[in-house]
Amino acid sequence: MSNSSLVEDNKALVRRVIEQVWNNGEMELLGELVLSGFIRHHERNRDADMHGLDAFRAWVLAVRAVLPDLRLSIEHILGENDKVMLYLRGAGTHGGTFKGVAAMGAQITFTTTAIVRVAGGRLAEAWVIADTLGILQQLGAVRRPG
Amino acid sequence: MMTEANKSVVRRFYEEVMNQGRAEVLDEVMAEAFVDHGEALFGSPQGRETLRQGVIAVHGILPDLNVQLEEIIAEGDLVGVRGVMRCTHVGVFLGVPGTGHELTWRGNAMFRVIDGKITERWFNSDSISILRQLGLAPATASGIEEVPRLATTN
Repeated sequence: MSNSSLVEDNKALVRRVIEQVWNNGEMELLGELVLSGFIRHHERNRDADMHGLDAFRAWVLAVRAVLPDLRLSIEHILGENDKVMLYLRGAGTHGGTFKGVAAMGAQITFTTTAIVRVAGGRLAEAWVIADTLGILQQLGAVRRPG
Repeated sequence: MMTEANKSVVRRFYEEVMNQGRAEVLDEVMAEAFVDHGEALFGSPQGRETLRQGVIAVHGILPDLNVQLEEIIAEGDLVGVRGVMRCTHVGVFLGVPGTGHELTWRGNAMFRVIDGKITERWFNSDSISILRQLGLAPATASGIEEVPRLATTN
């Protein structure tokens, strides 16, 4: 398999994870799309790294509980060897309690930048950073500092 | 290969402009009509000159800032990086007077490179970590440890 077709396969996998798992909540596909040894590297706290399918499932469910109509759109995607990087725009209606902020039906939009590693046709690792501050500001939980 | 040349442009942006503070190098690696797509904390400065002023200002505030790229990948006209920022908090940063403490945070960024120059950037940095290190964690800080889960809403 040439590198370019491998990259295209990897990008297709990432698109399926975003569309079917995150947007549609088709959790039964997780075993097919995500490695059992999956790791999500935490932005700042290695002790908070996420390991395994159950953790991945809990992550998706937690986000979808806050934003039940979550829509992640891939604005840009690129791949090289076993890595795929994507820039996402997310949108959803605040439908659950988040950090003590009760649901007010607010429309939330945010961006996220992620790099993932694919192994054996499944998601193996992810390094993800979202605009958490922007989300909190939209929920009225924090104001811009400075 | 074009993608390797594009990576070199992005490496020069970090090494020469960001790390060494050579703001004049921006003319060689960035288009004048540069468009930034940032986030809540750092905003989206538009245009090469605006970014240049930002680089000059930040070197006065965080004079030893260093971005270490842990990964760089490219395809077509896009280049993606994953990096760690380290600096000493010397001047007034986000309204907080210098403490002499080291600050460090991670970020992911994507660039579009056209004809050897950066024309666009999309990025997210770990803004919650920056606020916490500056002592600006919001009133909900007691619960913020779990924020990354939504954060990673991604």
